[in-house]
Amino acid sequence: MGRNAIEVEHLSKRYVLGQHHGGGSLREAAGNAAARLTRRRPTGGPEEVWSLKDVSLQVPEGGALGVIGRNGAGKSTLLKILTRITEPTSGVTRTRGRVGALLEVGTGFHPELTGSENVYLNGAVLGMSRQETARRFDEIVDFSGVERFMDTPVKRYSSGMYLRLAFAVAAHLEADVMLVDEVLAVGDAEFQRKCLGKMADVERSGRTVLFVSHNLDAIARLCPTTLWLDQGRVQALGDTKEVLDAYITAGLLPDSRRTFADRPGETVALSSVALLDARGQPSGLLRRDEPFTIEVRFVVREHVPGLDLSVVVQTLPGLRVLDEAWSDSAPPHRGEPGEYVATLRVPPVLAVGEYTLGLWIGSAYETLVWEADAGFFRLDGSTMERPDRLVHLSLSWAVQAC
Amino acid sequence: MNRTETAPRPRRSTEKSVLDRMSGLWRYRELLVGLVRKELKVKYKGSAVGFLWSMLNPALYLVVFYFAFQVVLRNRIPNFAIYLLSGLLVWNLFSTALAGATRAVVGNAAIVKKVSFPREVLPLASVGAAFVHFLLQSVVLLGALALFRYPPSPTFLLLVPVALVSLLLFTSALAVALSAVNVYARDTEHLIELVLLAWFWATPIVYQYRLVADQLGEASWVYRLNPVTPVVLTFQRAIYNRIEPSGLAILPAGKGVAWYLGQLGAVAAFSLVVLSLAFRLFGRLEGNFAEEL
Repeated sequence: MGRNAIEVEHLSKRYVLGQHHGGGSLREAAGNAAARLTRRRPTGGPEEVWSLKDVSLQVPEGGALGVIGRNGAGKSTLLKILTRITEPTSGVTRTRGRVGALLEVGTGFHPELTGSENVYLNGAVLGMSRQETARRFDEIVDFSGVERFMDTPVKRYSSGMYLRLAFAVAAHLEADVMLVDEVLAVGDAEFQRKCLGKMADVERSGRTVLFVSHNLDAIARLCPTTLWLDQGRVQALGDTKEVLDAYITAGLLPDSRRTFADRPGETVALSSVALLDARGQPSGLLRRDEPFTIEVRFVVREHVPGLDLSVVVQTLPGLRVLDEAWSDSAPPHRGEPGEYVATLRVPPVLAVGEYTLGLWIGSAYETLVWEADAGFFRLDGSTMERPDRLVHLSLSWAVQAC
Repeated sequence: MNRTETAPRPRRSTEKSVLDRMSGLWRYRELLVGLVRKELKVKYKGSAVGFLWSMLNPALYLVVFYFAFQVVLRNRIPNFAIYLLSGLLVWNLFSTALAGATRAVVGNAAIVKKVSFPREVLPLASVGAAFVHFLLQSVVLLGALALFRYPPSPTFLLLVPVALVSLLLFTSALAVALSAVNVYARDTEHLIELVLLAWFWATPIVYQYRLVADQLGEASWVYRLNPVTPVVLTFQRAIYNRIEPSGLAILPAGKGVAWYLGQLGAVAAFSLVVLSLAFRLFGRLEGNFAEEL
């Protein structure tokens, strides 16, 4: 009672870029050795990155903490340290009871094994005893909705079935502390609802939940307190509503271009994003009844055949309103190295409200950039007293007397 | 704050003692069993004869070596099939376990990066799977014994379990160490194949122990520094059970159960030391697995 299930004190994690023991080339190794010999620290350049810097927090038993922040804010690092997958550079974490994690579910699945075999194996990987898994087996199968395929090797599953089964196993883990990383972004809308329901159950059953998500609405529903991480530091920690308001306000696209920190070594890097109003002026406050333009600048450093770009616009509850890919209307880009500006004109069809802008760059084979919260924007104007509608098409009627 | 099992504890895996690691492993023993089962299931999934392949392996070796050594090179060892199998099964257990274990952590990068569990389970599962194959291959040996109505030594058979425990300890020690080292130096998995090839010929499996030991004379202990040799010798003594048939010196002469026990005891003691060092090494290297993979 009144005890903390998670305690984190002055946690920091440093990653050193370009200094891999295993992956580095001989030349790099020789260079490093030479630098060490001459007692010179390698100078210049962002070689050290603090993924977390002096983070402290407590979650009481039975509490739920939401964690938000842009890509690279340190959310995943925090989870990895709490689940003991990686070690902190400094600081201490304490967890009470068994820790269960839902981080990219299904990674322990083997394609050749059947659904049931994978349920048991994955359960064991997550720390469940065979007995425990057996006890909850029916519940797991029922939740996953793939009863009929439990004796089929999972390599024959569709990706949706695969994820549903994987989530079902992880969600039924009897852990005292549950760490959840963006798993709700998988599956269809109905399954997502089911997952959210399950998370609410977990919380009601008195377990402690740490929930990382880009879905601000889900955070608002599940977590009374929220942590906002920004570049590894605690930007805000407290009442969810206040933290979310601050996050959205800070994330509103400025009346200029938002630039992104350069991450050297990446094939493609996002440089900036801006919203341009009908007059071509950058603005974060747009009128609902006028078209606006999304302008994305990015740098291609290495040749990417079939380069593609996608703009995703979501409502705050996470409903995807737009997902416009470059390749929908134009042939895929040749992807030669260089700097690019891409613009997408959006007609005045979206309803009044707040939106999240996400950006994806990649090819048919891989995701190179995925910035889920590239920024927020607000569309202002009259709702015409119909605030609930999502799109606003002003379709033309034909009315005749007959 | 009290420091019982459920109490929060400061955690740095470097602080974990070997005993802590062992108790962690014990809690995850079901995962170990599950992974062994997975390895076996996956290996023969989709193959028509399945586990027969495990038994075909020594049978084919037998044919090849029989042809090469008895027919072509005329090595005169009587009942060569029994002699070869007694040593070869031991070797197969050792070498398949190490070859698999070296790749175990790297090969399971996906779960190592996402889920927390005692990572030593991965190399140990390779040892476990190799042990199951060993049991299957023993069927071939039993078949050969029955076919030739060949009598093993009842006394020395009692030493076989001791030899197996020593071998499993030694194999596990190397397995744990190699799996961790391979994460940082991927050359290990290629190097180990060559080392195992040389090691095979440094162990009296296809030729007789006395061929080397008699040449060394007083210094024959040097030859037995190879921890696999005493294990192989015990198997040969128990199953092949001929020291100098038809005047050919094969196994150590005039050595009783005590001598064999002493040899195996030394292997086991040495292996325990190596095993505790291997766990310590694994603990040191484990902290950065997620970043290195």
